[in-house]
Amino acid sequence: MESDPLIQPARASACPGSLPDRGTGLDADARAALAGDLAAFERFHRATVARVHSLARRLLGTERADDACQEVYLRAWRGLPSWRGEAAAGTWLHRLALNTLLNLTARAGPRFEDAELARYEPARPSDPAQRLDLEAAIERLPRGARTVFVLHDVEGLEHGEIAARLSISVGTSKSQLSRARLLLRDALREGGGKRHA
Amino acid sequence: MHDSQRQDPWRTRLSEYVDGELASGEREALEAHLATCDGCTEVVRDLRELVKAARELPDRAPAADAWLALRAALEPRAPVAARPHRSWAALLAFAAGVLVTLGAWLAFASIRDARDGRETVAAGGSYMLLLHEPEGFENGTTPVEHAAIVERYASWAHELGARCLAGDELASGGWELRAGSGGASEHERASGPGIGGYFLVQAADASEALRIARTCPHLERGGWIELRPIQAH
Repeated sequence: MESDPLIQPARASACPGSLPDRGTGLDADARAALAGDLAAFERFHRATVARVHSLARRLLGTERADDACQEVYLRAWRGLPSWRGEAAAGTWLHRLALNTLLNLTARAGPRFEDAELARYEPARPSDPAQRLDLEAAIERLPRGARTVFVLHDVEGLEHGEIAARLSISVGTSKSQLSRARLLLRDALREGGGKRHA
Repeated sequence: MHDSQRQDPWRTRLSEYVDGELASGEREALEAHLATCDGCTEVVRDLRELVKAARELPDRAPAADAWLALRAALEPRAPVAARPHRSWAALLAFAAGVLVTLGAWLAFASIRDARDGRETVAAGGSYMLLLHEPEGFENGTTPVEHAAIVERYASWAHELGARCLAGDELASGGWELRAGSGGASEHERASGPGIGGYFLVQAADASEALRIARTCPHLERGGWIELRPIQAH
């Protein structure tokens, strides 16, 4: 059985045990939702929304996360008939979420602009004791670098897949990742320490 | 100027080094550099810490109950499943089924994507197209011609994809019910001009609903359309 990114993602160590016993239940709920069972779709939604919303927030920012997350589930509801059960329902939803969210990021304009680097200003908390957390620092990254960082370091995608999804070269993916990591390091240090989460 | 913007010939290679992606010759050269460069050594240590932290970022549920908003947005789909099957409704149902099978959500997404600047489903609303038929609208229409007309309406609805929530032709006849001072009255509806059918569509706003309505084949056939927004609650 294919591993389920929503339940046992490449970054499974992220929150061990925080999504308990959802493997078979998620598939069963998806099957029931496919037959029009709204209560099952609600369970499916509640079991996965933290994951999808977090992905939306990291890729698109806090302001747009709610709408983007809803867009994912609207498409999931309409697209359930395309889920054949070959992959775990969580895997299918994760793929759908990535496609949807990346389309939304693409609509905001070109992802990769050199000028973005010059515009980047790490957050400087007014209170020196306040530390900048990693989530906030990611949100402040230039869009292209942020997208690659989230896909690679948070979602665990390889550079080849990232390059294919974003229509860029593997070299660009690597350089954007390097850029993102260095910017994050600077931001976290300037934000008051090396706290990461 | 931030640390990352300072020039260092090795600096941009440190990320790949951390991922173990440097070729052996380059890796050895970098390791020799690290042995003498405290700055780069510190960056490598920080990047490793950062990569680990990124993989362990906990997910957070949205602050508000996202299901309630989603549930409200899902409701317009219900009439499609519950729609009665006959004449053009049957064709619509078939069209909807084909669309769903092929991935209606993709079709819907592409339609939505084409709308300038619109990036979320949110908002929008449902609109009713009431198809009025003037006197003598279908006089002399043969059953074969009528079937072709139904096909034309169904094809139009098919092209709307998921934006078409429901639609049907109204049979002639029916009743009119009125409450009056002398009590309720009911009588059979007289033949003649009236509403011959309807479509329920989803649109981002009134402009889009109008654009949709203007393309309805009903206008070309000499009918007229009353476009009414469904009251949002």
